[in-house]
Amino acid sequence: MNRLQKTLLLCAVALASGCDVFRVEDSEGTRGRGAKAFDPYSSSASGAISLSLLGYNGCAMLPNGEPVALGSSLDPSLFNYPATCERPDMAFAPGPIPPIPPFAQMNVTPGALYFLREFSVVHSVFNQHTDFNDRTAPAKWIRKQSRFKNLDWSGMTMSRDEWRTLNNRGLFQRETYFDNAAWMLSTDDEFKLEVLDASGNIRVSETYKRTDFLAENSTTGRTRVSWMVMGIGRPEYPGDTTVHLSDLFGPPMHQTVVKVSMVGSTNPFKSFRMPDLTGEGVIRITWSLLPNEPFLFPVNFVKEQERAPTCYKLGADGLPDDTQTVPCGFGLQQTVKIAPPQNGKFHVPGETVDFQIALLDGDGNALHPRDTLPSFNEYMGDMSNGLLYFNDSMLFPFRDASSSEAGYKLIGPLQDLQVVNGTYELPYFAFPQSSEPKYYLDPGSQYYGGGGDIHPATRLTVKLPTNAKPGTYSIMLKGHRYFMGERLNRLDSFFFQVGQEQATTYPGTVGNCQVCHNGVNSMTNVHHGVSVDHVETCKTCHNDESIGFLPDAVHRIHMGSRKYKQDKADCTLCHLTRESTLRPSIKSCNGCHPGAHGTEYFDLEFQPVHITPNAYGNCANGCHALKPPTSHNLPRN
Amino acid sequence: MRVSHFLSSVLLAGSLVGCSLVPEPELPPPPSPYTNLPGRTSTLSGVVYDPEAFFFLLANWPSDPEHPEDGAPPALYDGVPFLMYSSVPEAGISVLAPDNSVGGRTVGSFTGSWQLSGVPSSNTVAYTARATPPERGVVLGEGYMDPEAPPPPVTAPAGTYYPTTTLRPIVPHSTLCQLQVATMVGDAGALQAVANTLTDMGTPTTVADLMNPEKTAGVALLWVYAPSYELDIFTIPAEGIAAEANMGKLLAIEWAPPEEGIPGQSPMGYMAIPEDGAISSLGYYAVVLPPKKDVTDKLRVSFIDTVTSEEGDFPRPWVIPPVEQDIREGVSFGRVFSFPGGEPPPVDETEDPVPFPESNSQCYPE
Repeated sequence: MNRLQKTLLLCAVALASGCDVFRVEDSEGTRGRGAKAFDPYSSSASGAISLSLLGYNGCAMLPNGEPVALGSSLDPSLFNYPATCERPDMAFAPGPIPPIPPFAQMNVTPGALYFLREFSVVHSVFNQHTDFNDRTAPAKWIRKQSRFKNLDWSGMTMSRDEWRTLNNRGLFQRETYFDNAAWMLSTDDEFKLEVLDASGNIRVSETYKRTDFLAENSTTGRTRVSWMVMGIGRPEYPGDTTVHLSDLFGPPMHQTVVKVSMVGSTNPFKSFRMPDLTGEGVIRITWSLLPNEPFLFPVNFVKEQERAPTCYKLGADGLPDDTQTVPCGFGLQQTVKIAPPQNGKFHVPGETVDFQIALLDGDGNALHPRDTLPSFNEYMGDMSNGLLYFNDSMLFPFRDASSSEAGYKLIGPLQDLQVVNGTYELPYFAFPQSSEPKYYLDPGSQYYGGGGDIHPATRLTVKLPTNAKPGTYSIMLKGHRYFMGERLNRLDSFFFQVGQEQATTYPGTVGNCQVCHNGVNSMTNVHHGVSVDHVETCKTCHNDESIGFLPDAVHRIHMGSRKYKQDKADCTLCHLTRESTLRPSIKSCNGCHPGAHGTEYFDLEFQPVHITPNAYGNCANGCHALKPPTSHNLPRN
Repeated sequence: MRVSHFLSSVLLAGSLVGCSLVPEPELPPPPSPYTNLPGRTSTLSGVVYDPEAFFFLLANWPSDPEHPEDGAPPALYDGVPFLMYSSVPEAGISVLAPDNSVGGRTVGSFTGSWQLSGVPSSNTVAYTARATPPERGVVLGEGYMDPEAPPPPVTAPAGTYYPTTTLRPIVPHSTLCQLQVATMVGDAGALQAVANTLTDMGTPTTVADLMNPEKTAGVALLWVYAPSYELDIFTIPAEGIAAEANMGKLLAIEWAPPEEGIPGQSPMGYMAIPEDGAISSLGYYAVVLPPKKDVTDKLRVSFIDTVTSEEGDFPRPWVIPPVEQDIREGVSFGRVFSFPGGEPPPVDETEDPVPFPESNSQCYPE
């Protein structure tokens, strides 16, 4: 082969192999490609089930916050497991509540192939460190008294000290993070997973490296060591040491927390078969950094054939048939059926979009009857076929960032989706307009009389505005499920037309997530579960800091990650247009460059989103547009 | 390298990555996203309780002398003992359209919650909920009585309960109408007091008479509450509210502990004041309508707050919407909420908009 031939061959191969690289549609390991590319998170269709193990203050916990009991058939002398447990929702009680005997059961399927996807254990205390100006006390508790005191805390230092608004009426939380402890930087530690039978015999074992996990970042609810004061007013000036109480909250709440959380297996082929046992047993995790303090997760072995028929087959119309029940399987699929518009082709402005959802397991059976979803009480009682609802105790005491909020949002047209900075006036339609989705069950409903028994409706409607712009609109469903140890997040988009038949698409300003997030780490398998095809929908919820401002959060997630291997100054990897990088603001840049301007713009950081000027304001025109930072590699066009 | 080898390499590379050098043909249009769905219906849910027993429990519940502020709020929150022990177990619940057609019926739970699916959705039809006692009779709070636990410190006097219409329009424009409140009253409360007072006034009357359409087209019990701190959850009696009705006999309802033995008191301690124009210190009124054959109009009851005050959480006088409704035979109960008075805060036209939290599941008339 001569030089020319070699060159031509390389060009041909490069041309052919490169033709998919920059496509953002259906090019990564999304669900639906499971038949072509093994997707370990596709539940029973994948051949392996992702296992999540959660613990709170010494006890195993289900994703609804309920403490798991050591099985009654297990000898307590064999298993060093607490007789009483704290529940995360106890943090909201006005006074101290004694721990209670745990009662929940964590079921797993014997014979099924599992892999460890998540290990999240928390030790949290409330209102124990209440001196606003004393960070030493929480740091001491963390290092010397917490359940994680035997970790190597050398090198621990205070990192970010952040204020975050809780509402737009002057209510804030301050959180001081502690980072850089030796255990946090470790890369060679391991987690040995063992499944023990009722006699304490090890029946199966597998070891996971720390580096087998994708994510540990606190921004997404993973590892966090911090001290937080919640429900206070803003400081009046930099260095203000006075606590400014707020009538909006009452006495502030203080939380000191150590959360060790790794999630997202990068090697799901490192699986283990759940031993073919009946009755009760224990999953034991021994962390090499805490070799003498294993974490116990009592389990109940429920054979597949013993599952009760609590799911529903689908009828000919693709909706649940309430008369045909079947046992549930693993997985979570979301479906939407939209009623035809009046003209049969597209909805017109002012028309009501009428749609029906059905949430299915991976085998295609419905998790609920045709017209209603489970109640909150059924969710808390582990009787919801695994469907999860908004649960404030998981978000606050457990410090998850997205674990159980189920609902929907209707947005469009796609071509108008863009980041909004410091305003609630969106250049597109969104229902709800606020950052949160419309939850199937309004958060807090369970606190009202009879509210815990509400069965949300599966038939939903949204009235389009009379000035709805033409194009493609999306109904996004956000779902969470926990079943037999498998904890899944899903966020799926379903499209319909408004004002015209011709489809439109996203602006195409950001993307390329699949460069790193492919295969087992595809976007559908991390955090909310949004496919890379639809990453431009993230901004429609994350438009203020109350739930995370996207340009801030997405930079924090990656730039603050030890797992991010790309050049952190190369904006071209994710930003597809130059214009999308030329919108700097304190909020956008602070995640990587905290305090870049000292205290010069101190007041702006406490201004509400909708009051100008604020920290969302555009710094570009004043300083950074004509001469963007030279250390950042921006797209040329 | 032979040409065939070169082409083979290209084709191999192409096939490995699933693409070719030729432009991809245009994809066929996606399938229609639309599916014919059956007619839309709504699911209604809420709780059913006896509001008179709720107040009785509130007034008699012992408080912690050291921490009186720690008492349960007078609100329909889960776990509030006044609600728990005034809840009606297994009540029949139906929703009625203005033309008396039944939108649906169900049976409530043992703890008083209820859910009714299949009510035809509508932007205009205003249903009212009607709660019917179970055949076996009503034991308030039975769902919360644990035979192995100590009884609650206070229970409301037992009575015979009657089908009760709740005067709150439910317009099911949303497919989920949640936190709907149904009420049920019996003869231990104001109904008995009304019968006693009418008898004293020279018209011998029993509670059964008040349910007889030949004697009255119905009795409307209207309890005016202070502005609620949240939704229509807080039920704080509003004192100093004058009422005026366009028909029937309007009676102010008072309350005193039953053990005081005031003549005309009902077992729960309610009393009906015979004097015209009397103002209830509780904001509670009863209207006894004329016989059905004599009623040709809707009942209209207007309320005026006689108190002026800048103190408290809500400045007075409060604004109280009138009740204007066709009254069904038997007893009806209205939870009438006041709204803060005074001038609304000036609109700052320079203020940037903030979206209100989305809420369409209360199903009030639009």
